[in-house]
Amino acid sequence: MEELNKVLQALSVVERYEEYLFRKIWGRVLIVIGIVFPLGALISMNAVLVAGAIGLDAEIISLLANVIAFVLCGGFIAYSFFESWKTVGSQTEEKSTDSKHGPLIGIVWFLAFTLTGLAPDSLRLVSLLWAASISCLSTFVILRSVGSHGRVTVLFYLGISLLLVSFPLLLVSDIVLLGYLALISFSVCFIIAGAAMNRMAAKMLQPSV
Amino acid sequence: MVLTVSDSLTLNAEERVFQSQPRFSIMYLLFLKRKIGFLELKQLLGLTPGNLDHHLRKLEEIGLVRNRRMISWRPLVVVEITSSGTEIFREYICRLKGLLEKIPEKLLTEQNE
Repeated sequence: MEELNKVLQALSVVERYEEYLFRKIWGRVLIVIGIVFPLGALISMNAVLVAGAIGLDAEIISLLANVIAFVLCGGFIAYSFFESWKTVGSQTEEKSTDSKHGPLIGIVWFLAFTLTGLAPDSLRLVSLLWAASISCLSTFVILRSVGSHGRVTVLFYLGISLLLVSFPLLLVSDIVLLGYLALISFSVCFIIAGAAMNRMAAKMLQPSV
Repeated sequence: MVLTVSDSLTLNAEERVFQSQPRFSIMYLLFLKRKIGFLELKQLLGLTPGNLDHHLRKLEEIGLVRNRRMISWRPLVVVEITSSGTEIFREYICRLKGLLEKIPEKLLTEQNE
């Protein structure tokens, strides 16, 4: 039975390490989204100012800012998850069925943020909060249904927080102020959630968990 | 019923290092993940740096793992499994799996009850 216990303990170590990697990646991803996305939107909001300074058309600046933010976020997320999954040696049958949720989550986030383009100009930046909220809640539900990483409650709280924060913002009549407040809320919520996820990741390394 | 594991496995010198619980966990983790940071490994196994270093040295001496210093924003030591380490551990795991499969189901259920 000594050997059996040895194997069971090793399995527990691997399980905790996988959970740690998963949470650490999500922590980083949330922080990067919380910084890069609002920065892109901020430049886009001040495109006329930036265009005047560097002598380019404001529309090009706005487009470039959004494209760069999107590419940076998407690239970082893809790279992070790829780096993590690359370290997995042999793919078991269980893992191959489990990995279907990744593209699904990607599609949900892409669709949600793409649909913000349909929102009226006055609500464009607040709709980012709604898109992020729907994306986080959907991701939470998908991960829960898959069952492998069920304890991503941070995403649930982030989704709810974004939604709750967005409603008082609708009372702000100044569109510029509304835009800035929406971006700050977006950034703060994501960075706090990312930091919380990183803390939870570190806890997974402790044998007592 | 007493399981005489070491007799059944007839371990060679290289495989005998896996009999220690921490070394088995290190090798199993590296077998699946290929590499891991020293600090993460220390926390995962709940070992002191000296203790972990001792186990890693044992594995390193017979060429199963190697340490690599990475250039990063902080000093980082990464432990990697070698190709011979992968092969030796795979063989060991296969034999161990065969041995564990031989444990009668009845014995396991009796113990749970």
